[in-house]
Amino acid sequence: MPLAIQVWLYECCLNVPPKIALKVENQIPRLLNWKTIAPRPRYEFLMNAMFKDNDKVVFKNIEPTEMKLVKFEIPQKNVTEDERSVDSDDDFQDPPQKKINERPKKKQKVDSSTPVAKKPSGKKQVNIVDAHTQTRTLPHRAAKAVVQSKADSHVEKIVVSKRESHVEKETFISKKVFDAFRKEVRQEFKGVREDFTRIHQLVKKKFKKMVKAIEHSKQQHEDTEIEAQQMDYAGVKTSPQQFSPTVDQNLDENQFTIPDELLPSLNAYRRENITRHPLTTSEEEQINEHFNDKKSKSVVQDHCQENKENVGSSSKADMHGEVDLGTEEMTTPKIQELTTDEQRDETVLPDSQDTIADDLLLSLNVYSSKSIIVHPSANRELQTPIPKLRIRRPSKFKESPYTMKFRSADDKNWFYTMGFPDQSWTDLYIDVCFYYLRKKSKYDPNRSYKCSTVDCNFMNIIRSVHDVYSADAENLTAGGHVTHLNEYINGFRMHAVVQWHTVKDIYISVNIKEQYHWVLTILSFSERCIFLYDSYELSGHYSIVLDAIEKLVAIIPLCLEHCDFYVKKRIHVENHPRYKDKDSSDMFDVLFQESLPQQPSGSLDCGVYVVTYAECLSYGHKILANEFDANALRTRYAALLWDYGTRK
Amino acid sequence: MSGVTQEDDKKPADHINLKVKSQDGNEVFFRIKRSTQLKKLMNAYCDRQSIDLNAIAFLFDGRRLRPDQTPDELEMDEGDEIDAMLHQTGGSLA
Repeated sequence: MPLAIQVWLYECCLNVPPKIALKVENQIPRLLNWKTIAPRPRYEFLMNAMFKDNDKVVFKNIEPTEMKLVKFEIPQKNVTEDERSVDSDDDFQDPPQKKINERPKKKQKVDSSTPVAKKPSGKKQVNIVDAHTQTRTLPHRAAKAVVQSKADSHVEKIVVSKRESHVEKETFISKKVFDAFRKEVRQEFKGVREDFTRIHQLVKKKFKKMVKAIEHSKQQHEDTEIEAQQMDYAGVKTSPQQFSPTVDQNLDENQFTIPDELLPSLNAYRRENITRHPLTTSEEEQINEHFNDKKSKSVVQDHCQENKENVGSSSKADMHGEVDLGTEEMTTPKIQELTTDEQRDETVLPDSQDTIADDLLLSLNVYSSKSIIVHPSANRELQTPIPKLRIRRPSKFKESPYTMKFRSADDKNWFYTMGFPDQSWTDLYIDVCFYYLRKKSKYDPNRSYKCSTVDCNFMNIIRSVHDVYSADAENLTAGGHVTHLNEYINGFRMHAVVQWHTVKDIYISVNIKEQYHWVLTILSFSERCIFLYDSYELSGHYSIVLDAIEKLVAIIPLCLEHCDFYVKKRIHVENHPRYKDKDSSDMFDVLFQESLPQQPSGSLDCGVYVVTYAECLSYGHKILANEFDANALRTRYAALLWDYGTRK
Repeated sequence: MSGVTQEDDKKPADHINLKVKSQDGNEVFFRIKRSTQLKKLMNAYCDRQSIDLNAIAFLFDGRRLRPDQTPDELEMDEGDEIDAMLHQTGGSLA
C-alpha cells in the first residue's frame, strides 16, 4: 500500500495499534508523523488489531487544524463560502458590486498565501514574489498609457474583447476597498444570519457610489485597450509559472489533508492559479451585462488607480494578505455551519455562473477550467443530503415466496393442504417456511446462533451444476449455473437472505424424488460436513437419500472455493482441523443424525418434519427424540401463516 | 394450439420468442407480447403438455415466475429460456 494511503488510514483510524505504527511527531505534513513499527503486518494481525468488527473501530475524517489552515492555502472552502455568504440573498441587482470587491480580495489572498507557504524555505521566494508583482504591475502601467492614447470606443463590441479588457481589472486591487470590505465581511460573519440584511444595505450603498464613480469616469475609459489587455495577459501568464513550485508543494501536502477532494483539487489548484485572472474577469463580465458596458470600464479605471497604490506597497499588501488569510479562513467554518436551507439554495450560483461564462466566452479552455475549479466544492454542496423519498416496493426478483392474497380458492386450498393431514407438502410450503426461518434468524437480535436457509430451487441448481460438472470434464463453470450458486452464497438470490459467511449453518431442504420424500440437510462450515436429518428410516432408503445428497456434498466445496468463501469466512484451509487434510475438491462428509422423531409409515408428513427440525435447530435447540404431533404442527404452521398473511 | 401463438404479429417489436424447457429437455417455443402476463404462456404450456398448472413451477434465470409477471417486468430478452420444473413434493408414502 502506498505510504500516503497508509498514513491517511492511520490518521483516520483512532485505534491504530502501537505495534503497527506509531505517531511520533506532530508536524504539519502529517505524512512525517508516523513511524511504522511492523513493516509487514500479517493480514490476521491487522484484522484483529485494527479492524475487529465489534464496533470498536472508530474512523473519523481528517480535519485540517488551524495551523494547517494558516499554512496551506485551502481555497475551495473559502472561495465558495465567500461567494455564497456574500451573494446569498441577492438577485442580480446587487451582486456585481460585491463581486468587484470580493474578487480582488481573493486574488490578494492567493498572492499573499503563496509566500506564506514558502516561508520556510527562505529568501528565494521573496524574490519570486517581487518578480511577480513586477510583472504584474508593469503591464498595468503600459495598459494605462495605451488607455489614454487610444480612443476608439469598442464599448459595444462583443463580450470577448471586453473580457480581455478586464483581465487587468482584478489584478488591480484596491487595498482600501479590500480592507474595508474584509472588515465588514468579518463583522457580518460574527452576526451571521441576522446581519445579513445589513450587508445587503451596505452593498446597495456601495453600489450606488460605484455607479456614480462609474459614470464620472466613463468617458476616459471608454476606449479600453485590447493591446493593453494582451500585454497584461502576458504578464498574468507568467505568474503561474512562478507560482508553480509552491503550487506543487501545496498540492503534495494537501493531498493528505483533503483526501476526498484529491483528484479535482489537483487539477483545480493548478488551474486556479493559471486562470485566476481571466476567471474573475469572466464573472465581471456578467456584471457588465447588468450594468452598462461602459460603467464597468470605469470600474476598471478605478481599480487601476487604486492599484497604483497597491503596487507601491506591494510587499505590505502581501503581508497584510497573509495576516488576513489566517483570520479569513478561521471564519469560514462558522459560516459553513450556519448555512441553512436558504443558503443552500444559493449553491446553484457557482454553477450558473459557469454556464454563463461558458456561453459567453470564446476562449473555452480558460473558462472551462473555471468550471472545473468550482465544481468540486459546488458538487459537494449540491450533494448535501436531501433525504429522498424512498418508495418501498417489492423487488422484481427478491420477494417473499409467501404471496397469498386470500382471494382465490387456490389460496384457501393452499392452507387446507398445509393444515390438514394426509396431504404432502410441496416445495411451495417448504419455501415459505424456510423463508420465515431465515428471516427470523436474520432479524432476531437476541440470537447468538445464526443460520440461513435456501429455497428448494437451490437443489435444482445443484443438480444441474452437478450434471454439467460430471459430464463436462469436471469444469465447474460450464453451463453458467454456478453463477446462480454464487448468488446464493453471496446473499443476492433470495429475499431476506444473508451472506453465507456471516452464519454458521445453512439449512437445505432436499427432495428425493425417487422416494417422494423430503429430508433436511444442514451444511456446517465449521465441521466441514453435512448433517442429514431424515424423518423416515428404512432399509434401502438410506442409499437413495445418499445418492441425492452426494451431488450436494460434491458441488458445495467446489463452489465455496470458487467464490472465495473460505477467505470471507476466515477459514484457513491449511490450518483448520477439519479442512487441513482435505482438498478443495474433496466432498463434505455426510453425518446421519440418529434418534430423531420419526414420521409414521405412510403419513405424508415428511415436509412437516423437515420444517419442524429446521425450526427447532434454528433456535439452537436439540431435537428431542419424542414424537412430533404432526397434525398439531400442520395446524400450527397453517394458522401462523394464515394469521400473518391476513395481517400482512 | 395455444392462444399465445395465435396472437397477431402486427408489432413484432412488442413480441418476443420464449422457450420453455421441461426437465426432460423438451423445448416448446412461444411468442408472446412483452406486456402480456405470463399466465397466458403457462396455461398454454400446460394445455399443450397436458399437465396441471399447479404441478409445475416455471423458473426464469433460476427464479420462480409468478403468473402475473410480464416479460417486460422481468426484462426478458428474445429467445430467453424458461424452465418448467415439476413441483417437488414429498410425503414418504413408501
